[in-house]
Amino acid sequence: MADEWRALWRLYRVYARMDLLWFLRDLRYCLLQMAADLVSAAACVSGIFLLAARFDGLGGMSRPEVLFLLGYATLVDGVYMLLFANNNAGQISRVIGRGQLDHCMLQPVPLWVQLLACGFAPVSGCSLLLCGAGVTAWAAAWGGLRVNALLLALCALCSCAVIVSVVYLISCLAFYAPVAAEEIAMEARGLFGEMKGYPLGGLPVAFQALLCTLAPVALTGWAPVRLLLGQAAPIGWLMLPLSAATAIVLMCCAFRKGLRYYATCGCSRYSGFGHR
Amino acid sequence: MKRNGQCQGSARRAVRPFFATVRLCARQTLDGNLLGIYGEYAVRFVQFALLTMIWRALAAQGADLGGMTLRALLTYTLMASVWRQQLNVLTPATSALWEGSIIGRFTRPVSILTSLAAETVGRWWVPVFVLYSLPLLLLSPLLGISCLPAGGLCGALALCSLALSASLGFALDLCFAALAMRLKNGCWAATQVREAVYELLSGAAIPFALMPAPVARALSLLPFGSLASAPLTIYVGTADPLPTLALQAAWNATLWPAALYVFRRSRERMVSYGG
Amino acid sequence: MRPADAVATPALDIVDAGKVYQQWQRTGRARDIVQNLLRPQRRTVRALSHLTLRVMPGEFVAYAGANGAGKSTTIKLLSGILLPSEGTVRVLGLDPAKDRIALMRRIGVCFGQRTELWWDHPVITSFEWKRDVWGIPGPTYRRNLDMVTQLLDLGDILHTFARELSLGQRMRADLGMLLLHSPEVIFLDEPTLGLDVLAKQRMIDFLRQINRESGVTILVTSHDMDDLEAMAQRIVLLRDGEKAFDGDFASLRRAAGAYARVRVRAPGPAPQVEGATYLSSQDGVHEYAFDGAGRGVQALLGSLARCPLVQDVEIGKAPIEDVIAGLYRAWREARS
Repeated sequence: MADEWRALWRLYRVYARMDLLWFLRDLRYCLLQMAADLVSAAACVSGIFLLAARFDGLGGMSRPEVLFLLGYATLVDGVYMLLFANNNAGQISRVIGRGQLDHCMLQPVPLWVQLLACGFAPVSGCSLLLCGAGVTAWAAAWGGLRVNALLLALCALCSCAVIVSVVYLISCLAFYAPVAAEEIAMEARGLFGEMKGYPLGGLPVAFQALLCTLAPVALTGWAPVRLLLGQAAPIGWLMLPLSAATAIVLMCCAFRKGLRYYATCGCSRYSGFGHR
Repeated sequence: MKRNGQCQGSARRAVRPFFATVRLCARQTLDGNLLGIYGEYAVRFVQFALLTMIWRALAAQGADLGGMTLRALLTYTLMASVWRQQLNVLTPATSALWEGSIIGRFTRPVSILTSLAAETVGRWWVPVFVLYSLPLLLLSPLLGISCLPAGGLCGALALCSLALSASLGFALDLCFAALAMRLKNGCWAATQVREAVYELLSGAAIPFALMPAPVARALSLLPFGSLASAPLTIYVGTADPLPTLALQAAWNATLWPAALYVFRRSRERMVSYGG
Repeated sequence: MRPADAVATPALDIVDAGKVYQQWQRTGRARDIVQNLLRPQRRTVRALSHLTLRVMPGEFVAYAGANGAGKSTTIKLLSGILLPSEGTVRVLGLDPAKDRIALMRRIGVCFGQRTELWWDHPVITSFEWKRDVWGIPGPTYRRNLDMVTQLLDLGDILHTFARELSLGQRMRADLGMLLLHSPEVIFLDEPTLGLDVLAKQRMIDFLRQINRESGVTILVTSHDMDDLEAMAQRIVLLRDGEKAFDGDFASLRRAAGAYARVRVRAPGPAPQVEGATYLSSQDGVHEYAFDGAGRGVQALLGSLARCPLVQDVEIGKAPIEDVIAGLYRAWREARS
């Protein structure tokens, strides 16, 4: 196991260097990608913030709190982009559906290490993280919100783990239906797009529960922000990491089963498109 | 009489390739695994449900919904979900340029635009209507949402507006495809920006009526506003149909020549890069 | 370079292996849409059946068969990408499915239609990536990099983006990358596909050299039988997932009953040659097939000497392409 963690560290360094090289060699495209990330984030934030501005708060939150929630949502997206932006690591259904897992199998490294490391983009994927951190800090200062930075980072990591788990869990469909589910990771990610920035206060409790469990959008925005702002019961501090861990375990089981199917039945198609 | 028959024959010959492509593309999707298809639609449904819940919560708080009733607001969101493919036209042009498969369209005895339109209708419009939009419309009374327009005339004019909106969507998509051609490796960045900007500026997710008044006025004048907000507001009866339709027609008249021009200008680059 | 006991261990050892796939069936009729969605029909396809194959270290084996015979499936089984439905597969004494990671450090796999190069990076970056992921020691990496750069003439393209390489250059770069970790066994799935004559010749020469000098075991598939004959000492032919032939090329010719060829230059119509079957004529050169075994050649030369118009004679083996094509044809006819 120690060897595997060492391999993970080695691979993170490799992919960090490659990302930096991409930045240095293809500066124009790299900047374009970073700008696109920022525009997308701004568009997501603006819609909900305009609603909050119009109604002087939304879903039981004041305007600075809504902005803090939007900043947090962007920060979570930033962590996701930082760790899974490159090589379709965050769009794993494409890799599976296109039969490109074969390329991973040819490397003398455990699959989980490869998948965890190959998306690492500390240069090209950092724009959202910085933007999210900036908006969160600004909202906290504007509203006089007292937030522990360490707990904020912990929550962001848990939220990111939930997104990754759900995306990978749903992407497992691509093992069985490679064509139909090739782009399903995009849809799964879409679930957490703009939706995680909505304040859910005032919604029916059953719906809130649904969004904390089966479609855990709330765990990536509203619920952790309420915890950070001290608006939720302290038991939440236990529930959030526990939910993230549960999501990871479920995803691992499903992925392992899918991988077994892949090794037994193979993938009925191969497309080099988008590979690396 | 004979001449009339000849005209009908040539019309049939012209539309046959279109429908053959539509049929083939639709079958390709409908032959897929049910789980794979419905995974996508489930996400769309959750988004729709979340928005309706938020509107209901706002109404329960007694918030001013910008002159819209809760019923109209819910119908607006329902129809935005039902017509999603038509309100946000996404042809295979950009992906085909990137993959290099655009060159295949040049080898068919059909215009490129016809090919792209047929593939769009077949791959997305037909399956989404059959498997998502229709069930959602049937389900809507159970969700307490009316799918009926504000009136018969509103419904008819909304369909005209939808046609103009889809046409404008094709023109915008061609413009983006041409832009993608220029950006080559950066084409996905352009697509990402387009999707994000569409969500905000089109009014498909959040109706302009719920935004601050000056912002709403400005957004409704932009081409993106003509894509989604126009047909939806006509449908629920909160827009004056004639000026809205006139604005859509004006954007069509402006953007189609521009789209054809830039698409034609990119053709050389498209074929050499795509090939 | 290799441990002593590796000599006794077969490089590849496949015993009674089989592989079965499921294929979705679609009628394409509108009325079957619901059935296609809910309960699509499946068909079972047997890609490999009772395959037994042993390859010793240092061998260069050609692996051939018609389309769909099971060549790529075998390579995927040997690489641990697929699991066999039955039987056992071992490579260098390891089970590819269980010991995939250890095995990948010792073998190299190249699928001709797929690239392992990083598309948006120069070739050298892909090589450095491989060095780090495979954990190749610095001196070994530098030595192998020098070797492949020199032998494959990669100097000019090391700093070129992979996306900008021609097919021949890309194949050379892929092959160079394949060898950076000094693999003991390499699997090449159609490595000459789409290459021009010169690029193909260079690749064949290179593969023969590393097989001869470094003792690398090579299993190569191709549809170009001339290429395979130029590279390998042994050929394994697959037919519908089963091994149909295993031996050298001369034995294959004999087994296929392939006749030798004689080309005769003579003006006018093709002369009658006793003991030979007329095949074709072009520009005054007439081709015949004859049985080269036993006293066939002497009898043929005797009858040619009796033809006064003959100006030139050239005797050769039956082209391997013709031999294989004849076999495929016979198999297809037997099946139908």
